[in-house]
Amino acid sequence: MPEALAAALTSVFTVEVLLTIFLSALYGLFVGSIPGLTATMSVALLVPITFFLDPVPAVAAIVTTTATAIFAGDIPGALLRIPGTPASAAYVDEAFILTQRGESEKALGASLVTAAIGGIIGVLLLTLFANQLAGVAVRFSSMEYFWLGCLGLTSAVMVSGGSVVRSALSLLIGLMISTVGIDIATGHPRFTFGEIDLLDGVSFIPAMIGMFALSQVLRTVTTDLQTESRVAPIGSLFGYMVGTVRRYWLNIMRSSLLGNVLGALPGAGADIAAWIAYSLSKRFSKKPEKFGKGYEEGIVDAGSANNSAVAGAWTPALVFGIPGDSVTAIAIGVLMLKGITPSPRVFQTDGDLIYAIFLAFIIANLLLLPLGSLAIRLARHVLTIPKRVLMPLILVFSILGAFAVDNTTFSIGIMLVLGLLAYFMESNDIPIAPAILGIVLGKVIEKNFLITMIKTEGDLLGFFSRPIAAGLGAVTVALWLYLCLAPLIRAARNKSKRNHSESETPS
Amino acid sequence: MRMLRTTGVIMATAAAALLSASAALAACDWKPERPVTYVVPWGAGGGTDANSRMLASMLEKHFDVPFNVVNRTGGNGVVGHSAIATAEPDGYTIGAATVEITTMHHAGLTELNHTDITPIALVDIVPSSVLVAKDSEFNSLNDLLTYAKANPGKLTGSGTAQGGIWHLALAGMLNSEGMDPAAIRWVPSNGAAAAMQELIAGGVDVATPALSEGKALIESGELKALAYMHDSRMGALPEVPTTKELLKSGWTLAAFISISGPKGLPEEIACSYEKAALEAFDTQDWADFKASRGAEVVKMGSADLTTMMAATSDNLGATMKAIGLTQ
Amino acid sequence: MKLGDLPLGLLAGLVGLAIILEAVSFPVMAGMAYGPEFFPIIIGIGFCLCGLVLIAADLRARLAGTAAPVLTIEPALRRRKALLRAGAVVIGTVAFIALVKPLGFLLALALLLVFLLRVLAAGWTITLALALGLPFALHFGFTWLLRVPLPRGLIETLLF
Repeated sequence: MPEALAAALTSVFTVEVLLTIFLSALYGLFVGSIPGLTATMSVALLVPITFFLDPVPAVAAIVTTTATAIFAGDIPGALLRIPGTPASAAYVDEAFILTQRGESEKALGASLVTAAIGGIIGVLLLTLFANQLAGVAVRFSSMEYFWLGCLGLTSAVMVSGGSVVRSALSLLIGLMISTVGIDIATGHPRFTFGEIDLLDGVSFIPAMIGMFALSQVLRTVTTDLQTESRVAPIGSLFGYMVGTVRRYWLNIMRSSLLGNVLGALPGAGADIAAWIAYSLSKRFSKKPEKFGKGYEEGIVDAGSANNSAVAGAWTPALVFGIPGDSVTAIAIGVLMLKGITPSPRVFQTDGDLIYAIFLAFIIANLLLLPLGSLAIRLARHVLTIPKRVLMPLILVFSILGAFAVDNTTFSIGIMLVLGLLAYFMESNDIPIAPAILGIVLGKVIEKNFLITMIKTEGDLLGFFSRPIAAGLGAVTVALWLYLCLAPLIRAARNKSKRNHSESETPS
Repeated sequence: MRMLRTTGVIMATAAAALLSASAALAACDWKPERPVTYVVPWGAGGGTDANSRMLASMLEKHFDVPFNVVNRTGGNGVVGHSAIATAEPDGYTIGAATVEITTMHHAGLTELNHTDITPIALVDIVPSSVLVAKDSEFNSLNDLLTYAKANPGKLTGSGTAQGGIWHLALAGMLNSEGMDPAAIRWVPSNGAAAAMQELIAGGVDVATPALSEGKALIESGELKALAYMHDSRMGALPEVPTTKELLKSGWTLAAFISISGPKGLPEEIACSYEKAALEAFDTQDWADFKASRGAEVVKMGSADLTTMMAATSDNLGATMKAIGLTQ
Repeated sequence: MKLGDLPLGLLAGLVGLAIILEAVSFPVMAGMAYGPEFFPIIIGIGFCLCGLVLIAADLRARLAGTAAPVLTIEPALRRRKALLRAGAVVIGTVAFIALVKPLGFLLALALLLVFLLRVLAAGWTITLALALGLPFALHFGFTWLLRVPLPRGLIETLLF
């Protein structure tokens, strides 16, 4: 390892590589901050360019672009309520409420510093435990993913505030949306109304842009077009970030670890990671009552989890050649093009290259701090635009974002319909977040349920037939029991207490 | 340099393609003047995406206008293929039509078929394979088939969606060997990567994705390749036997990736693209790219590709009917 | 527009029933207890249950004499101007979807910007500046830098 590390150092610290990292970081920040343009898309655009680069700068360009684009997605999310990725949907409302209070720098500062640290911790874990982690990750079959999806859903129910019926209704709306499209078991199109564009289901990013951004535009144009946005500078952004780390270092460590492990699971790793981290954050917080009202702790946890997951996704990609997400799917192609074949021995066979990639990852995350701070300072000026001009601009970017994802005007329609739905939901005190989670997890749960049922020929006990599945299943079922029984027990206790006190009251 | 090692049909058609291509080269000098949209019916990161993006970047250099790759996924390929077929035939929308254009109309998914597009050139031939996990008890295709014959419905296989091309590969192979096509039950998955993950995790017993898709996992020892569904061995994995050698029926199945235009694409435009694509296939860059994916360079122009698509549609249609995948 | 618990509950119940009715028409898989209809039916039942809970809550509140009104329109939506603006956002988007293919991206976006900015009473200077400048900037950025093809129309054909 030391020789490989030394070789990696010399191959990374060259003008060519450092310049590539710098340019890729700028590019990632730029593309990521445009709604609808995803990290996957920005990496796919890089592929033809990487072909003409040496292996180290080629892969460095990819990792840098991903790391910066994922953070940049938080900028329109926090400022304008247009989340860039499903993973940042978990805390977009929290950040937007902070912005409305004039504390946008707080939201973005927390998101930036945790993105960088989460990313670095993710890489360190990748360096140290890639083989072990990948070994566990590839043991996950449809049964384990089914339970993981259920666990994600359950943890969301546990943290949802307000009316239980209304949260449940929101979740059901999301789950319903997730069932649209061709069914995996029979290939039958469901709820598509004969639309070819719905065969693949309701496209996620237009749905998210509609539910968050468009509904907010509708609300703003009908209520407070007059009021000026407040931007209260928090003084030194750097000082604030240091403060955040000092205050929440335990949260950052916990969520980075969680994000890395979940990110290593091929599939919906980063998304589920952000939601679970957010709900754990509320569960273990000293001030759970502040959640959902503009509080940075949730952002800290979810932000470190989803950026650590980005590194986690490389684990199965490097060790087994199984992509952890769509970005690493593209990256594997580039790796093979450069003569690196993923394998459990990749650290021995291509050690210098792999460590060079990791170094690039770390440099990218360090570079994110100054560049991201600059982006935050610049982006803040968006809020000084008068709302009667800003609202049309948000609508234009929402329309373009929705269009760009699938290159079809149909997605703009999806954005509009779901925006109106979300406006109606919020008017009736039905929260949006559970619906988004329903859309994310609905497919995961149903798909893996049906696949498992096909495997076991309809035997439900199959869900407990493998050790990891049985463990995850037991945890999930225990949580369900707790969720159902806890209110009953509490009610019974209150009742007996009341009876008790009543009997004591002299009549 | 890797030699073109394919034999038989492909070799002959490739040679014919060169002839017919050069015959038509005369006036093929149409050039796009603004960005071209290159539709890919499958997701970023897959084999079709990689091949198409590579070709798009080379066409971009050749024509000196941007070629914008757009992934139009969904509906098991229906969405993207219909986007290619129904585009304006002005040369500014082309796309990667894949083998599904010849099968999805048999499955009753859509009316769309290979006559609704203008085939330009063949980009890749992607033969299927039979893969098992490293700790599987089966060490040869014969072991596997004998066991499946004796215990129908006990084993499970995966690779893609229900009725997808790799499903066809498995069920078609069983059928051609005189077995029940469902002797190994199909477990649908979202693509080859997900299926191989299931295979390693022990969720299914067999997977039949493209051998090139399983190459990395085979080389790292996680998966065992029992067979290559092609008539000659793969240059990158020469130790994997072909189904042609192993099976009495000589069953083979290969998917393909093409570059195609909308229906009614003017001859002048089509042959300009054909010329540019065939030129790109001759470059060292393309050869290196193919080698990195364990694939071989194929060259087939419009005329032969059109014939091949029609033949594939008939063959696979008959197989799908035999194994009950038609509607 | 805020519905009382009773109409909201009825709406949820109706949605649930509609989902279940549609789901039972899906083909069943041979020899399988769970197919494409299984999850939609569970979701449909969930909607119905939520509906029942809401209706029950409403009736209980009614007995106690504290029921919320059947329909409340928030004060913001009672002002004609506000309604007009919300309508403009929706109509503008629908019109953009319909017009972007025939007119091309540049013209459709310029029209959308003029329409929205004027409805929201932004000044003419900023309106014209944005309507003339932004479409070109976005067109350049998306088609040439970010490689996202945008629908073409007359202006695009004349200019590029």
